[in-house]
Amino acid sequence: MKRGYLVQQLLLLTLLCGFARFAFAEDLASSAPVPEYDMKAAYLYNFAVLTTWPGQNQTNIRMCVLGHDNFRGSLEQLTKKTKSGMQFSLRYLADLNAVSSCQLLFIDSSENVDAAILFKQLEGLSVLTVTDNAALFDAGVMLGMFVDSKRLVFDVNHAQAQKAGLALSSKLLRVARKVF
Amino acid sequence: MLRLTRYIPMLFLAVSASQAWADASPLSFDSGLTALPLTQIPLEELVKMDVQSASKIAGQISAAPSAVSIITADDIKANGYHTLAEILESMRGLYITNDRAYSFLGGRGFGRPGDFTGRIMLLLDGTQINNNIYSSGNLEYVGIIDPSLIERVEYVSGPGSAIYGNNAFFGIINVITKQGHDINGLQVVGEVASYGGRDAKINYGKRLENGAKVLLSASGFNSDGQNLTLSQDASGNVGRALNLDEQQSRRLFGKVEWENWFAELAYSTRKKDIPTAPYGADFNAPYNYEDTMFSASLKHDRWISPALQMSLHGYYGHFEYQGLATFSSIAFKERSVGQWLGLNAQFVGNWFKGQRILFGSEVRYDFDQRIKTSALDLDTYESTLGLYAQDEIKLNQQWLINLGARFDVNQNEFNNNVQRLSPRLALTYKPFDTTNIKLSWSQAYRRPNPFEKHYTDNLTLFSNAELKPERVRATELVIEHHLDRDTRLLGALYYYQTDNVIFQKDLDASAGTSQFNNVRGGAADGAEVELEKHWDNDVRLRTSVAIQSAEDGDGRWQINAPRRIGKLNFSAPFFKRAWRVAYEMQAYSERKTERGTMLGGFSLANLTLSADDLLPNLSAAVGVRNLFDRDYAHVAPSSNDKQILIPQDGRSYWLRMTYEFK
Repeated sequence: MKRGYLVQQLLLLTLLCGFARFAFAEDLASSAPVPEYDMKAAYLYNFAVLTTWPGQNQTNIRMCVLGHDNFRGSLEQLTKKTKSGMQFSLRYLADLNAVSSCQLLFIDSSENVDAAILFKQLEGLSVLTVTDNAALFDAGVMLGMFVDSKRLVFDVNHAQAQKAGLALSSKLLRVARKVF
Repeated sequence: MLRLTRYIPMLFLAVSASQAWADASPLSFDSGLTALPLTQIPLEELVKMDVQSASKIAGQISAAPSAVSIITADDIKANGYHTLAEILESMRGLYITNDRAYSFLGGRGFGRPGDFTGRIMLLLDGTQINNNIYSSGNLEYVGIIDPSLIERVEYVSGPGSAIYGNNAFFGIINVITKQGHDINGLQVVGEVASYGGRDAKINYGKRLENGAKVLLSASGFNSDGQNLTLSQDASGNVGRALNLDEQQSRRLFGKVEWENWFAELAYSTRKKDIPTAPYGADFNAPYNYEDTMFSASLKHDRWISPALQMSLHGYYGHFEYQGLATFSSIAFKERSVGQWLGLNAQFVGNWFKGQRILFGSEVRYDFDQRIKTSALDLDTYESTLGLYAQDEIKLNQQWLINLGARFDVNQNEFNNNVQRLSPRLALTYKPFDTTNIKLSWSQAYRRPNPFEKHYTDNLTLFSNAELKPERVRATELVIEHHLDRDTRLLGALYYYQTDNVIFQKDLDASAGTSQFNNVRGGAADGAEVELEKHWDNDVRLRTSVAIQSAEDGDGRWQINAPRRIGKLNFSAPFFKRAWRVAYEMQAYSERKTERGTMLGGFSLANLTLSADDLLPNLSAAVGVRNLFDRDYAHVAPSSNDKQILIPQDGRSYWLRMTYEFK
């Protein structure tokens, strides 16, 4: 390539782009798919807002995460002040010992936790459990989030939630894929 | 050979998908800015929206429309990598040359052994690590960061001066560290290895109640090395270099992230004995290098308005080198010190729909550049101002244009002014959801460093203050295709041309004198193909083949540039996923040495077995490097007057135990 050629091409392309931007302008934002874990963070937010814990102060919700952090900051965003007045705090658990301090527990699919040990620790506690691990959900976790045909769907084990004294809003149950 | 890229018409626009568009925020290491507006959408609406399934194959973070190779913490753990050099050695089209002093990176036509500059910019969480004396960014036990703290390593091939300025010549390597809660407690690691190797690390990481994320680490490594049989003169007579392969290194690291603030300190020091007696030194006599590096970085991100983000990045670097050599039984010492201070203010504006405008300015003051030997007492400084801008325009769902340039002005002690413009143009086309095609043209430069301009021993190497910057122009075509969510196929074609290459040229071969000069540059072109696949049962495969054709300014085959490079990485769990096996293979075809002879091709294999929770809180890993005990060598730098080849290690073993206090 000759010396000045690149600069000329850049100028030509800038003009082309300027024109193209007006010619092709579309509403691009609406059709872009949401990253899976950003959506999961939004679901956790909604699950917390649409759940009533027995007798407890509703405005301070502690979210605990067990397993590898795949959220890369989107959960962190929830801890900032929200308009609804709800305050979220976040804790990454190394093990199940501190689980009694949590209102919501998310178990990542990467976590190799023994279901029997998990439920033993949760016995008697009013912790809303959520997971994206199918096997753990089948074993008795209250909410399971799964990707199905490009949508994030969730199933509800209502019986387990009621056993723990948690009341799930009809707004949540209405849009679930399966409720049992 | 493959000069196809030169004939692809300008108007063949290729589109890049969400990869280059969504993820690439050079500003924030938290990509979670989308979750906030999502919480304002009611649940009944959210369930109707499309999600982009998270692939098990890592997507790039580095801001560049190029072919990016990524190694994640999982890969580092499965293979038990000990240094950045071992990590890079598994990457597509790259190779390491070890002269038993340092490890040098090669690939895509660059990589003369002994070339300190490397011409690759090494970044630690976005902070430049290359020092301001030799432009080197060290890769082995001199390296600034311990692999146990690495979340991922991204190698972005192709000139990066359009954003990063000086020295991002052939590419950038961005090392991203883990977050506090990825360690989530206290971790103590101990390792023993062949040749008297012993390593100890203490890592602590946590996300505190107030949201602050802390990561701290201290580590040390010692190795006795080997007594080596090496060529001890130009005639090839061999001798024994006894007790001259020992090395010790120490590292300290601390990182705190809190709200929009980020602070990081990294320190590393290494001393190594050198057995090869380069530069005409006495064979089997004391010879060592001690390198120390300290880096401090402070970053602050904020939203200035709904459409404008700002990132301020202040950094300080301190580099020190001490060398000892023996010439005619007399000790010769040299020392260099480099210090620099900089501030980079970067902005991202989303004022226009479909356009992401990045712009900023960087001020850098290299206030301390010293080299001291018995023949030289250099004390100089320089300063640089860089202004850069980049516009990413999404024309529609399938087409994207990325246009950018950086203008740098550098002034040194003698009021010499160097101005350079580094432009880049990239076009991406996404014909289907699963495929994207990127075409890019870019230009980068590298200024001569104080070592190249001023170093002299008044005997064999002479200074040259008139050195001019070198330049590279690159054209690259990348095709990325996802056969399914967890299978990725990548193909790349490239053509690089260099001009005014700074090269240590013989002045008088008989007198053995040389000097750094700007020589006519050469060209490199080639093709790379890579396949990466993850299975549901956590079996992983990554394999690549690279073909390169590199010529120097005189049209001859470039030294130390093998024509074919093949890599294979395979890992799988076994025993009900409690254990993991990782097998890796690297193969290279023949290459030219500095003396015109040929070094035959060779292939190497490494095997690693690891187990998490062997006992409660205890993990272990054991590995064999050079599994088949191949006898192989690397090309010696031209400064090695006694050897043409440097023999490398035979089969070696290592055993590592990690205990976690949670």
